[in-house]
Amino acid sequence: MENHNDSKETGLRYLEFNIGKEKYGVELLTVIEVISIPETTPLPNSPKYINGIMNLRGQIITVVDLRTKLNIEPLPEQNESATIIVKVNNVQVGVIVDSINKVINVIPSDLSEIVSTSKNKNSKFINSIYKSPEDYLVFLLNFEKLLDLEEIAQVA
Amino acid sequence: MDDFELEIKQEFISEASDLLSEAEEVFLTLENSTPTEEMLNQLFRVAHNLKGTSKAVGFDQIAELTHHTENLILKIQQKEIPLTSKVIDILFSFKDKVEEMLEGFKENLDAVFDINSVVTGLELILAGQYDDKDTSTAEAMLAVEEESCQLDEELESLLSADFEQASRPDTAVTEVDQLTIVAKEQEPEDQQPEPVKKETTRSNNKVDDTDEDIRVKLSRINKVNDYIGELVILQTVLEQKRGVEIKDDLANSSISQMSKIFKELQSMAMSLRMLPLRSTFQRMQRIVRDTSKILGKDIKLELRGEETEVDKKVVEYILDPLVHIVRNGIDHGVESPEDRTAAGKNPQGIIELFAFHEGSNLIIQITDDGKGIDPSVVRRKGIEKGIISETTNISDQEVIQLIFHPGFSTKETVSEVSGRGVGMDVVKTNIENLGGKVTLQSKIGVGSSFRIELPLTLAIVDGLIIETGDHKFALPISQVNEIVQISNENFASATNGGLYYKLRGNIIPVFSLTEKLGISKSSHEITEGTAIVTENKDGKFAVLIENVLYKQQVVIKELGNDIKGYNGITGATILANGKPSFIIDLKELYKDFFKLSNNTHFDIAC
Repeated sequence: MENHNDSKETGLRYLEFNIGKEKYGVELLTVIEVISIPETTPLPNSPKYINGIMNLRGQIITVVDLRTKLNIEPLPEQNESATIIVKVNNVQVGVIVDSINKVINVIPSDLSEIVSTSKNKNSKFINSIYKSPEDYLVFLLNFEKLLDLEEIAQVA
Repeated sequence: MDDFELEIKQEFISEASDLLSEAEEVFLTLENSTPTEEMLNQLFRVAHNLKGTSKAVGFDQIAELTHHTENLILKIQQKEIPLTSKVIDILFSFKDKVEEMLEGFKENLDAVFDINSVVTGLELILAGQYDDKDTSTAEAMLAVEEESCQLDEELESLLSADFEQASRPDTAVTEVDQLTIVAKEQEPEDQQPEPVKKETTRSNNKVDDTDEDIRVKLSRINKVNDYIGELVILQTVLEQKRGVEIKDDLANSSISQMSKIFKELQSMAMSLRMLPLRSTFQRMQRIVRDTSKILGKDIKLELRGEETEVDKKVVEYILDPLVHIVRNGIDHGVESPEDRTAAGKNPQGIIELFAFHEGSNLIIQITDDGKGIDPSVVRRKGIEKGIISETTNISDQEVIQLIFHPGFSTKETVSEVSGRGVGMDVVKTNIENLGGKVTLQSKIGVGSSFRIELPLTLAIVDGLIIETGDHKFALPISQVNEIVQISNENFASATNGGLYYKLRGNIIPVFSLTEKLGISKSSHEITEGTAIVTENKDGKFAVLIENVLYKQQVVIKELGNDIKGYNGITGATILANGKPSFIIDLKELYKDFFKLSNNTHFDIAC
């Protein structure tokens, strides 16, 4: 990340998506593909945000519902919901979001820091805030922390 | 350390292990037969290669050690040093040392080792002390160490000379050149110029082996298997529509052609993970050699079916149980030469390892022609240890299986080789963990034979697909002792005291799978249902489920570290409908979950 801060014009590319009415972003390099909501098999005794496991062309992948994980009310009409397959901490994970928007080019000078207070529980998952040219804000997520699945076994 | 350096070092470690096992094989032949020119050349190449590469990647200690060994091999080649057993022993200790170092480097790439004793031993031999004077192995090694103290001065000068040489890069290089020249000179004598290829393939089957080997990461092969598995599922869909919804002739014949190719492809992909048992068996040679020396026994190991191929994982896991059984056979099974002669047997005992395929199983038989196991001794011991009672009515063959019971050891004295109280039960557990089983047959005076049955691959297991609380799970069939119907007549529950089932006169606890997995809470209402009877170290128990659906061979898919091992889940599989399903290890799930208050009798069901 630090390296990219130096180059002012070329930013990092992020995939922008919606959870509820809020806009979030994930670094495009970690994204492998986007698929529709898959059929999943639930994992017994697991936290609610673990949707289960899915079969991605012969590979078994854990699917996490980001809306539950971040405690955001999902949009009522869910026909646009998608699953982003990411590779984080060397494991492929499926992440369910409400809708995929577009790929954005994030220039470091347009970034601001997140405020973390004890009340802002999700702030630890957010790296920074990006102000788009259209003047809306995108919260850039830290998927490594968000999907630290080692945690699952302990939580459960 | 940067990535590149790390990578070449790791590459070296795995390459060096190959070289070492190649060397060991030659060492073992050296011991039993007169060496051919070709064998010595092969050894020299191995040593030279090892020295060169270890120096190149910066493992200087290995390079130093190998340097001395290379000199020794050179002297043997030039017939200046004869192949006494002392010389062969030092070659073995060289191999052990390097192996130890490689293991150490796997943990820590900067590890430093104590190589002095081996270097000293090598130096002594190079200095002319190669005669077998009073040699049993252990004494010889001791002697080497003692002498080394006395000969300190002489050695110091020898060693320092050598260090100097090694530390001055230019001389070291010229030396390497010289050695290469020597090696080259040797080759024409051989009368058959050797192609360079030999050096790179490092294969032992020199006759018909024109195939070249490449190293492939296991994860890649697994991926190929994943994709093929998925293709096969898609293929079944097409196959079902063939001739029904698909009317086109060309399309239909293509589909049936494809089916055939997929079958071939699938078995080919599976075979990529298979390795011959050769190297595992080869290691047994060494164990028999060393162990029988310590015990003063004369034992020959015969190998059959070394070419039998089996999944790489199985190869890895089978080593420990095999070592255990072979050691045990040497220690407890085969008698001393005197006893054998007295019994009218050949003073040299024989242990045979025999591997072969039987259906989808690998069978390994370990047979010795020793004194066999006396069932009456085992029975007495079993009663003493409270494993069986005086009145237990079991046959002699069943009694013998008691040696697999935890805490059973018939040998009165605890020896260095085997019999530390743990033993055969560990073997049994290890093999069962692989989804296999082990049995023993024995006849007094004639010998014993262990039979290990293992699945050919750990990637596929026979699974029982069950349903409970709307969830489908796969259970490895090896864990299912039996399936029983629970009804009012054979079943009782106590409020907050658990559920119990009468299994042929024995009372066993019943657990609800849905409750354990947190799928549903209530288990008080149960009056009937299906239960799986299984057992773990604490005894037999039954697991209540809703339905047994069907039996299926399931392909085990690795789960990420995230959910692996959690809740007794050992993996996942993809059912015929394409949906993933968890594979549950009942033994693991109910590990430490219950303790029977009184000792149940040992039940022969193994």
